[in-house]
Amino acid sequence: MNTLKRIDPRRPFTITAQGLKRITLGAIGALGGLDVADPLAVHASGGAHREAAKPRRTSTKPQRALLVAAHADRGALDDHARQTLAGAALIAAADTEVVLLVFGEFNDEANDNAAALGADKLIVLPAFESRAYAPLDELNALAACAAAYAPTHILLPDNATGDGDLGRRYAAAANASIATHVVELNAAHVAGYIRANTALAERALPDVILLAPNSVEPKLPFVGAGERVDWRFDERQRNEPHAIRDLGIEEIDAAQVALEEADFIVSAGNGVSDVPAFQRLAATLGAAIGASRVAVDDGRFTRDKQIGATGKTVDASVYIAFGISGAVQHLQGIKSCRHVIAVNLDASAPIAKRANLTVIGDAKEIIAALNEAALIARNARGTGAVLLKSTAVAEGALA
Amino acid sequence: MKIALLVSVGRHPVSGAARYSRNDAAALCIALSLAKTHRATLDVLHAGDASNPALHEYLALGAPVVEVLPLESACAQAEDQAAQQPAQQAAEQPGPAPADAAALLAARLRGYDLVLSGTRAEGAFDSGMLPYRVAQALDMPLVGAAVDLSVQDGCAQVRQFMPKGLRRRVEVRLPALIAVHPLANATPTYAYARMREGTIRARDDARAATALSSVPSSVSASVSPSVSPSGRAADDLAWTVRAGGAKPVRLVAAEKRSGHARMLSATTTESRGGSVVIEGSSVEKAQVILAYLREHQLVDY
Repeated sequence: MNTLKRIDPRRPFTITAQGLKRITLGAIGALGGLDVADPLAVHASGGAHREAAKPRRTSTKPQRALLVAAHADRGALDDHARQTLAGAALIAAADTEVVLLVFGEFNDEANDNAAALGADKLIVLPAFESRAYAPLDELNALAACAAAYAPTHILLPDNATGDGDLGRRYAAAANASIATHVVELNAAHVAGYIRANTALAERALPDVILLAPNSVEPKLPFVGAGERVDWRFDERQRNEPHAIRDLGIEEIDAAQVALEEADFIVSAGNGVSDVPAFQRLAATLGAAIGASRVAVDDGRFTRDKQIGATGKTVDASVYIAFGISGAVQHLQGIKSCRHVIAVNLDASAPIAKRANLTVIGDAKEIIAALNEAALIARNARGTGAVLLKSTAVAEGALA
Repeated sequence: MKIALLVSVGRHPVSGAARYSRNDAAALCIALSLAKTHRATLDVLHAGDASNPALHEYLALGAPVVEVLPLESACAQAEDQAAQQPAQQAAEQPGPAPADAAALLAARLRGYDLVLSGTRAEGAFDSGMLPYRVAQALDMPLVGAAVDLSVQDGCAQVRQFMPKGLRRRVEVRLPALIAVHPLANATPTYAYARMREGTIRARDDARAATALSSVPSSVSASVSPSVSPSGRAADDLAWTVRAGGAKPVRLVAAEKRSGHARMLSATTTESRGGSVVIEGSSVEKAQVILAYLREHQLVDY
């Protein structure tokens, strides 16, 4: 006789937030009281076929802490900082809270706020402007925060915009153990390349961890508590004269910057016929020029301007696409762009799915209008009235 | 004015042969031109093995003398404790400094107005920590990622590298430690005659040892003096090298969704699309674009 346990595929079920749930006979605790009591109510609330809200990572009282520090870029965390935060949330034990320390303005009301990114506590220090250079003040703030929360580990993104420098400064000042350019992270160890990227070495988690980009998948199945903590950083220390003085930032002309390095790109596709007007717009906005494959093949732009699978891959903050439908190969090239604005005649073009803002209209007219508007705004810079007026118009158009 | 330059020995990424570090070569160029314009003395220092042939390349690149601070005791210790870690690369400068290269250098570097180094080594742990540890031990201000450097009445003007085509200008009061970026504006020139002419001078052990013993007083001024220099050496030994060809594993959250939820996310396309503007004249649409740019602080007008 066959001793295999047989399971009836048509055994009774309930409908839960996770979908159809079979009742396995003999299973203990599988049925919540609510499901049995009134399965209809769950069904009526539409819980069955809807993505449920993500659960909290932990509900136990925090005993220890992990500290993540990062500079905000224009009011938000960039991908690298998000990965670092997600990494901290993933390696945190149930009794560990993730404290996020943000230097600079941070817009927490946005769709992807600190809680959704995995932070349990959020400390924002808006006094540290992202473009100003104050390494010693930042070091003091980080040390003060570390002293207050006594984190087991401090995680930072290892980038060239201040975080990598801050982490190293902290490790040197606190005489802490550190792992830099970490490409593999988990709850037990970190690993990084050594000897000119020829070998991989690992060690137990050190005090300070500087993560290389793309070592963590930022998608999380849970959310953090996202509790905002008011933190007063002592202003007296900041007024002390330091040996280091910031003389300001120099910007290289956008047209000179390599396309891969550019922060602001305007790109033209088949829908752009008036190339000189397009180039004038790029000059007005101070943006680098890119093009789709069709525009390059037609000879309107040189080959080095091509963005996409066979051209260049860009990671600009702003990418404005004029008359580009958005073939898969092109979207591949702009995968890591933060804000994509599309101007296109066809509302169902694939780029509309990728773009954060899609404007349906003729590229030629909009290029001319945008050029004019940007010129006026540039010339009237500093007079607040212009800003207020234009926002009102924009809101009207959006509605 | 006294200028010191810290140089390291790099490693060819393919052949593994020892070679000069290009970052340090750029720093050497900058240091040479500074020494020339300000009639300063320039000392080129290396902590590690004096017999390394790659050090001669710094002579060819313009250094008249390379002074080597031996790290032998540290090397021996390292090899004892970590047999699986071949070639502890004690010669590296801006690496995470096996044993206490930072403390050794800091002891030697007292009294210099300007200390230059590369940002990151190319052959050891390459953590880029050495400038930070040395600056901390010397209690000097540190400016990193310098691409241009000039000195004027007691202050150094540094142009720093930043990504996305930005550069920042910073002024720092001397004495200071400045780490030079690999993309610095310098073109090293290599001359065989200079290599024959220059000398590699190893510092005798006794003097180095006495210098070292005077260091901990300054090191202990840091925030938490729990880790002694030898403790940090043990810290570097915490690393174990993996078998060749091992690939790093990306940290991904465990999938805990039900089969139904996974099926849903696989079959329905995630609508990422943002707002769509259809109505309005082209002028209004242009204003919408500008408003979007302003809202996200992408333009400053």
